[in-house]
Amino acid sequence: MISLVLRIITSRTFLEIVFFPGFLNVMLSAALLTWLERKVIARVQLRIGPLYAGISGILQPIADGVKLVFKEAIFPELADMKLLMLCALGLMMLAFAPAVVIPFGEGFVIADMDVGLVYVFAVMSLFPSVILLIGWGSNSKYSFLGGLRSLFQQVAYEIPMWFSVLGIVMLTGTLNLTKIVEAQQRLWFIVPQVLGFAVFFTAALAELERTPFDLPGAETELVMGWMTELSGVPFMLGFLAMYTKLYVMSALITTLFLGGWSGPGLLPQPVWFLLKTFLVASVVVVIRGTFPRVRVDILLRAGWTRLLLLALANIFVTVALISLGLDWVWRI
Amino acid sequence: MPEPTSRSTDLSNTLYIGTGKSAHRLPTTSLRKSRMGLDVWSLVVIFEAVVFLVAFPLLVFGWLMGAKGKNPIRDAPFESGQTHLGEARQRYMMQYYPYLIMFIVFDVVAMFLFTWGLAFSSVSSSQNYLFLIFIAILVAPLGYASYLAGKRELW
Repeated sequence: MISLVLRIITSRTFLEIVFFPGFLNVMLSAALLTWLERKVIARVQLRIGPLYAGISGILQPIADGVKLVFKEAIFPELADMKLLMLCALGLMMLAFAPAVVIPFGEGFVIADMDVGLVYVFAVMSLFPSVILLIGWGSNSKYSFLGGLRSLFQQVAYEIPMWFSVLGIVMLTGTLNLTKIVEAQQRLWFIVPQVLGFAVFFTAALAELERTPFDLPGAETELVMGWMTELSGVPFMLGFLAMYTKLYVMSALITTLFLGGWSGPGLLPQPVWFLLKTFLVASVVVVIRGTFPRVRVDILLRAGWTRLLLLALANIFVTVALISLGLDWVWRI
Repeated sequence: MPEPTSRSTDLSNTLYIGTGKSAHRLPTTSLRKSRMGLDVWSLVVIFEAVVFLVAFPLLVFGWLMGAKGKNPIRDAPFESGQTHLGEARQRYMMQYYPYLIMFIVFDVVAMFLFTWGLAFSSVSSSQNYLFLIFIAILVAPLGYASYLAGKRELW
């Protein structure tokens, strides 16, 4: 029995799941992204950001986490406390789920799924339901309206997201993320799929509810939208889930468009992957500090009409590419 | 460090897409057998179990650690200082309902789209153009839904 447990704990599978590139890596990256966001936004706004907890405030997320655990979780008396706590937990688990398929190096992935891309999209489609449940369970008008708007927004931008990666699927003929990265050995997909990248990036910003699409969570509009009535540990789980989603989406953008783990070879492949992921995340954060917010009906209309048409245009461009016979570049 | 990938000449692993002359051999260097005898979906479940085992004790701990006490003013839903009237579970105007319906439609279309994208290179071009025409036809209901969602007085 003990030997079985020992064999499991030291197996590569367990170490990959729990430490790197699994749970601990995603958790630490999400916490690091909260710090990164606060520092970058601060610099954009000509201030400094967290400074005192650790060197340059890098222990600030840990301090926030400890603080939130010891706070009382205040729920409104009409709200469904168990539902809110369970849904916050569910958000966290959903946010972590796509991390099993994202490859960190050649053969270095937790679960090498042949339907990896569709699995990621399927998991991300579950977010609007959980968010609506939190908004409903809060039994507060602001929260529910926030949850509803969040549902509409995320549902609207999922369609262009799916359509924009179709070019990659057509060029490589596979949904396996490892093979998609391998197919980018000669040329990264950001070059032939510029339109697809632009559409995917915009749709990802809307899925993450980041500015300029953060109307459901904007302070002047709906307080914090569906997260208004969460506090204490459920709030920490929801907040971390947001940044975990950011990390996972940045990792996905890196995998699909920026060549995944490929790099000149000076550094190990996972390091290249993490560098590119954090670069994409930094761009997302800088966009937050730069752009104004988009009104909800313009947001929805733009997502359904213009972004979808751009994604369709990307499909047409890819069809033209393949008809010209240029797809040998991405077939190993 | 990752274990060395086997560049197999063993063609039983090879995946082909398409048949006959248009068959493309998919790169197989990354095909790996299941780890520890577990299939992919068990790995997902195990990963989620790890997340659950970390997050759930946090929830319980937070619930136990927090101060207790009921206070009607503090426990009221947040409405920026106004006293709240009535429950929030009422009827709301769903102005963007056509978008929800179009999502259902385009969900199914995306399912076909991924299938078509995977089989794109191995199917003759006339059939590909047929599917593209199908997608182009779908733009019309989308325009109508967009028009309906703009009419606030209907909802």
